Amino acid sequence: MDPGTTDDILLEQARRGEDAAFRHLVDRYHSVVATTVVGMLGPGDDADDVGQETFIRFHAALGQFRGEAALGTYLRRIAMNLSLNALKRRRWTAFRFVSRDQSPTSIDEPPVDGVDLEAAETRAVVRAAIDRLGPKHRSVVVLRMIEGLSTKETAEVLDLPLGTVLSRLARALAELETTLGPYARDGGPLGGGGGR
Amino acid sequence: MNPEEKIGRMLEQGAVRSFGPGFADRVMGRLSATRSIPLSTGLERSFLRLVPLALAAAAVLAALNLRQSGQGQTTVDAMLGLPAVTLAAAYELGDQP
Repeated sequence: MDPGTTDDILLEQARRGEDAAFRHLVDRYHSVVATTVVGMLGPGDDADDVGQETFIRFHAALGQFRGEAALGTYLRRIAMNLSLNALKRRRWTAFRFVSRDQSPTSIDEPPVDGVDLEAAETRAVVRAAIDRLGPKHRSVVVLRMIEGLSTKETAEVLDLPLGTVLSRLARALAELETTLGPYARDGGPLGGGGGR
Repeated sequence: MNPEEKIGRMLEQGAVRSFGPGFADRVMGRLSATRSIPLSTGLERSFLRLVPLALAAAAVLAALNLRQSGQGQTTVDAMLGLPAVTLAAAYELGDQP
């Protein structure tokens, strides 16, 4: 399939039952879904499962999708809703069964100066900080800060007023400042290195 | 760079932007597994499976009816198990309360 084929054409072909076209859409948008789902749930089988479910739901709703929202926004919305449901299930499970082999990464102690954290370590630190956020704050941080969506786009995905998004973001940043602050200050181990 | 910007950069750096290898294959596999069969197709398949059984049962019943048929019955009546239409049979019906 031609990589330049537009989403509209692929959608039309997928609606006609062409699996190759749908697979092309999965290839095209899997990173969008992964950033949302893994951002919300962390890496692992749980996230992979929710990612698959996102595309299964999307496939089931192909007939209803009329392009009112951009496809990326539509997929993010499904992914976010499923991730929030998964977080609820996870909290309920954690409440009932405390797992001994899934202890969260500790970030209580600031890093020793001069020690460079590798990318994996950065991910672990960031993950632990995100895990400390409640679902409402986490969803805003994932969309606005990690995915880089605008405030308006974030509000659209979460179906929230702009003001709510901004206030949640401010509170989430304050929480992140508490947990990631020691790492983010000048001279910290993550001070160097390039961005995305 | 202020701490807020640094936190933003850390979040970007720490983001995982892909699932494990073979994700698209897993989605397509799950899709074909969960793809539901329409009711009409399901009924059609069930019906086609039952047709030979139904035909065999009808043939057996017709053969039994033929063996037990009395005189004065056409073959079709006998196969369908219909009683003979005679004057005596009509009188018998009239005698019933």
